[in-house]
Amino acid sequence: MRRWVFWSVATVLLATVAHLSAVLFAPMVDIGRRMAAFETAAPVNTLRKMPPVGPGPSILVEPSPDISYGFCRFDISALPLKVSAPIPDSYWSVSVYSDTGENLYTINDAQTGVRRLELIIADGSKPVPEGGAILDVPEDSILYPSPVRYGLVVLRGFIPDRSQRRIIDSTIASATCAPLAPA
Amino acid sequence: MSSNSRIVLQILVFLSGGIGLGYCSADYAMTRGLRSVAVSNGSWTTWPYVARDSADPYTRAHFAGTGKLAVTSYEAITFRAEIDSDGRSLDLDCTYDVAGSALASRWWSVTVYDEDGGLIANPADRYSFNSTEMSRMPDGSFTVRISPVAQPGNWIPVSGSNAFYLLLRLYNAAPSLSNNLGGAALPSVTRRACS
Repeated sequence: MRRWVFWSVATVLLATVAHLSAVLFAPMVDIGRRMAAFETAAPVNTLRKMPPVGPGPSILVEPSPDISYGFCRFDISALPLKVSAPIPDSYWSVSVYSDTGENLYTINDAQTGVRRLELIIADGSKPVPEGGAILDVPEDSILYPSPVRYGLVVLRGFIPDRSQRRIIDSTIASATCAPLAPA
Repeated sequence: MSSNSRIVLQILVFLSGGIGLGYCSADYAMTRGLRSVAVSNGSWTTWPYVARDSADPYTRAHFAGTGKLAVTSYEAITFRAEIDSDGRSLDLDCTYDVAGSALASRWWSVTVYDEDGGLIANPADRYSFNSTEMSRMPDGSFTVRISPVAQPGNWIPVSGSNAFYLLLRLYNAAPSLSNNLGGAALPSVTRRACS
């Protein structure tokens, strides 16, 4: 009897450890593999428009056919990144993700109130120089001090109907993503 | 059975039972969602704490494990349906009506995915309907029909015989909806006929 109690308790303890390990650590391996797929899809600090969403393999999980996507892997360890994008008349957003897939920041067209977004992603851990700002940020630009140096920017443009696909696709394709040279 | 064999057997049962129980319970909690983490509303389920600093480990694991690049619930709320309104798994052999009233958000869409998360190829190149393009009644109500057989109206063609699921995406949802995920009026998913 005592032996059965021992093995039962030991099994429950092992199950708890396995459960917590699966919840806390295994997904990090999966998202790491998923994010690595972006590395082969485009050079760093370069914006790529994704092909129209359709059947077959996709770099995104559960992509929406109603959205035109663009993405840009970033590395801001040396220089900040400037994302410059025209904003169409329909819904549009830009999101910043960490290299572990965590959503850090999102802004959409209704929040920007401008026709063209200039988003500067800078290393938030770098100290502000004495008597000066981190960057010479142009007026109407948005500065996002990122807690991570490596990650992913994703642009999403809503395609209201098929007749507008080409317009939205070209809007996303005309966005740029490049290191911001010092002033 | 010798004493050594019995001990080896006990250890094997202990390892397989413990690891199996732990893994299966974690897999269920991460994919389906615990009641305390995921919100259900009819056929639909959503993860309301997605993309928040305060997100619980199960929500984080759900999105990291599936590789989904999530956005905050302010930006978009995504509901997933794997069952119809009677609780039966969605089957590609059957015809379904996804029907409801206009949803309080800037725009929304209904999309069909196969069980692996891919879109289902069809000659019409049609995988979803969004609120802007779909045909609706004068009162704003709508029906999207998912069927392997040609249908009038908002038809999403499917083929195959496996399970599938639906995603209902609501962008910039009104507070009346985002603050009442479990009680808001969402579309019903009704099975019509099966081949």
